[in-house]
Amino acid sequence: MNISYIIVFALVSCVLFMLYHIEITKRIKSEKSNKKLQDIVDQLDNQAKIIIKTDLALNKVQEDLDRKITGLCTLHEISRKLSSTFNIDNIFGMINQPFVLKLGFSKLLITLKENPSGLMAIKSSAGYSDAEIKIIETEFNKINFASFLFKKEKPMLVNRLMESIDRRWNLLDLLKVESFLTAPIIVREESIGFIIAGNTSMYGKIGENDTELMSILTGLVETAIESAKLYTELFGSHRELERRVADRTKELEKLNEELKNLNKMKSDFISSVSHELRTPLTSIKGYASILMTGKLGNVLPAQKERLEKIDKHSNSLVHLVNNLLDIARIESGKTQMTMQNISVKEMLDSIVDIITPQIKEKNISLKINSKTKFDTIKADHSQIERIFLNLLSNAVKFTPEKGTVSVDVEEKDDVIQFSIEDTGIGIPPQDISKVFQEFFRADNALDQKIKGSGLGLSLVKKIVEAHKGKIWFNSELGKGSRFTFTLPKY
Amino acid sequence: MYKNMSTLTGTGISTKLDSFAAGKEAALNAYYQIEKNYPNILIIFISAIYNQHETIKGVRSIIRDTPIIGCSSVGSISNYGFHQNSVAVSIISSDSINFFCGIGDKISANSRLAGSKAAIKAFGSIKKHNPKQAYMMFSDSISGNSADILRGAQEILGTCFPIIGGGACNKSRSSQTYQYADNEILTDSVVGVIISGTMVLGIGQSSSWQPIGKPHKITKAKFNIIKEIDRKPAVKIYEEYFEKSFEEIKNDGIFKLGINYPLGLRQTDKNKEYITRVPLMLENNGSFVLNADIREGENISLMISDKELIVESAKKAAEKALSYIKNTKIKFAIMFSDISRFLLLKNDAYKEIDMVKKIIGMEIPILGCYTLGEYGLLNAAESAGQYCFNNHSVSITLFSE
Repeated sequence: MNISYIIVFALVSCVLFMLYHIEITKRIKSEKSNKKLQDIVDQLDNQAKIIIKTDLALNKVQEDLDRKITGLCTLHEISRKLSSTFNIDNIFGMINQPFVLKLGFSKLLITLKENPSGLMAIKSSAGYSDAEIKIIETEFNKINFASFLFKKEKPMLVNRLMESIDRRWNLLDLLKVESFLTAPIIVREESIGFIIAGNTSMYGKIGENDTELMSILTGLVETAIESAKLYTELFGSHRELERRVADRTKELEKLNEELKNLNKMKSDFISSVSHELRTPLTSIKGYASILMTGKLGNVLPAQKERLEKIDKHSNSLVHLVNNLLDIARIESGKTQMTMQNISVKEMLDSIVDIITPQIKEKNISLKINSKTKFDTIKADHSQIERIFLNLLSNAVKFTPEKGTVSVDVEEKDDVIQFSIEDTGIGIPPQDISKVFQEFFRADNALDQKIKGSGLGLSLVKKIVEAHKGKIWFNSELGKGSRFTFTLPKY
Repeated sequence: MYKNMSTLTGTGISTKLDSFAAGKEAALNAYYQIEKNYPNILIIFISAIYNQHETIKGVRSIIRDTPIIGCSSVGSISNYGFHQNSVAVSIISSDSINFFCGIGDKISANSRLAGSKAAIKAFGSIKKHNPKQAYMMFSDSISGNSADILRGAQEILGTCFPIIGGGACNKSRSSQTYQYADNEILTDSVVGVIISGTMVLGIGQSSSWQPIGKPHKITKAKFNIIKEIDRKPAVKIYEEYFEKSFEEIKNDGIFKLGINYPLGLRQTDKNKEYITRVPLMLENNGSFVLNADIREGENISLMISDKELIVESAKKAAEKALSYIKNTKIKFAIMFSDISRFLLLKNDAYKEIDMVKKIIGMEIPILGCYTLGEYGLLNAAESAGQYCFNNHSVSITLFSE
């Protein structure tokens, strides 16, 4: 019985031991597999940590990149807008809230030093009420923030972590931001103000990355202010210059008017004097002619000679008076040009006929070179004849014997150009500017010998200008002169 | 202009700098779109950069007596896309829908009471014969407990009564948010509107955030404060995953990290959708203050998402909403998308709206805004049709006849 108990007990113990062993083995196995599972979970968790860190870093890079791109695009937009104005007040108005928000800031202040007080005044703001601006402005001037900032060359970043500056003045609370950047505005090497850009959001806290944007923004504002100042100065000078020019023009107009009046008075005077002279001259000439006929008694040869001189000089005087009258008439516009079609060739032929005796007398060779197919011009026949007669007779007069006088006719655009050239004595350089003046006669020996009134060229110029033409000349002393004038084709 | 037989909606957006002018312009544009018909309600979303009072004055210069409801937001959502720093005014003119507003204040003192107060006021105004369809509420997201606000409202309306809306937001967690009810501009409040009428509603909500890493257990929590996770100070979870010190997290702001990487609670094993919570504030002992409550003993995971997942979840929400309104014609849609989605999508935010338009129909008027937390129905089957407060989600409500 005892043995059987013992056997049963031994068997039970054995079974229990086996069960225990199985359980222990199972537990060890389970613990092992749990540990393995835990290791896998931990491993996955570690991988998750890497993923999260990478995601965070990527998000940050993306955020910085987005902010930079948006910021640069916005700065480009601001720059374009700023370049369209030269008014300082407009510059500040342009950096408005939408731009500030696009730059990634929620608040902005632009201050400038006021003259002569030297106090800082807020010129532009975004994200602040008028009352807040007043408080900030007062506080800035109280703590003299500008003088502290003007010592800095680069934008300065302020946030809750930075102790010194904020603790000193509680600027973050004053500006109602979590962080801000500030930079001085330097124009012509002088600090004239500063910009503050801040963020109220912890999410978009301003960092070192934003200093670049701030530098560009400050640079844009500096350039815009400098350009506006330059423009204002330039505009001021321009206005002053314009004012002076206007004053001077007024003076000149007045003088011109006076000159016109004087000229008219002169013409009127010449005209009336000439008229007054012509009547007695006609009488003198008439009486001299009667005396010369001998009808009033015998005329002695000596008397005849004197009478002839009276007649000759009277003729000269009549010619002079007529020229004077013509000049006065043309100047006053009293002489109407009778415009008609004139054949250039025929006109030149008739003038050559007139001038031929003088040419022959001095054995001068006359050449006419016409390079134009255009034969007709519209002009006053008698006046044009006077031009040619004056210029050709001058050329003949001042050309020594066996010299050459040539007439060139050319077609140039809308005009016909006539040139009368001689191989005469030429005009001294000092007299060139006076040639067309009335009563002027060149100061050389030959000229003094040759008689003339000094009115011919003046009259020629007046006639050419009355035909809307131009006249000029080239001359070389001792070699000759070339007078050129143009007449419109039509 | 979106014209139907009995319902007209119009949305005006303005980005003018002057607050009054922006309000006026947005209201005028919306008013023209409803062909100057009688407006039943104005739904307004104003960016916090605007002077709120001046903007409402601008709106009121066009439309005087119509009830107003709305909140401040970083941006508006409409058929025109998303608009940051804007004023959005939507007008609904309908002979088949009615709106009744209510206000609950001091949510920081008692969120639940505020929630129920607003619901009582809105519910009390409704005529008995009008079938109640939904309750839309906007609450201050930076004070109080949004889940408690919802519970307060549900005490009056029931847990299965459709509640939509979200938390008013600003870009910064610390900046004030505003809620609008009629001519009042409130803060630390909740405003709600009962939508009644004969319309058929389709509500869909989806979140795209997915868990990453192993689950962790909340070992100590009270209301909306998590004190310990895995028996360690709550902040350790962020310290470990991001390899950042307590000081770094504190200085950067826990909200900045938490908005992109929130904490997620799995509702059931079957469902892949998570309810997320955003840490708003980090206390010196390493505890988090969340924008809604969380229970001790729950398993949480760190959550992550990307742009594709966000757009995909918008599609899912729109499809879900559409599935409820078969054989009826959609009149308009109200869409609330979490600010975290906007911050992740950034310039691609239009893709989310485009996806919704593609699903519900390109011509269907959409109105809405970005919120910090949304009220809605995340998993209808799993939650037994009970509405909840979630973060990181997009909620789409279709109104059809």
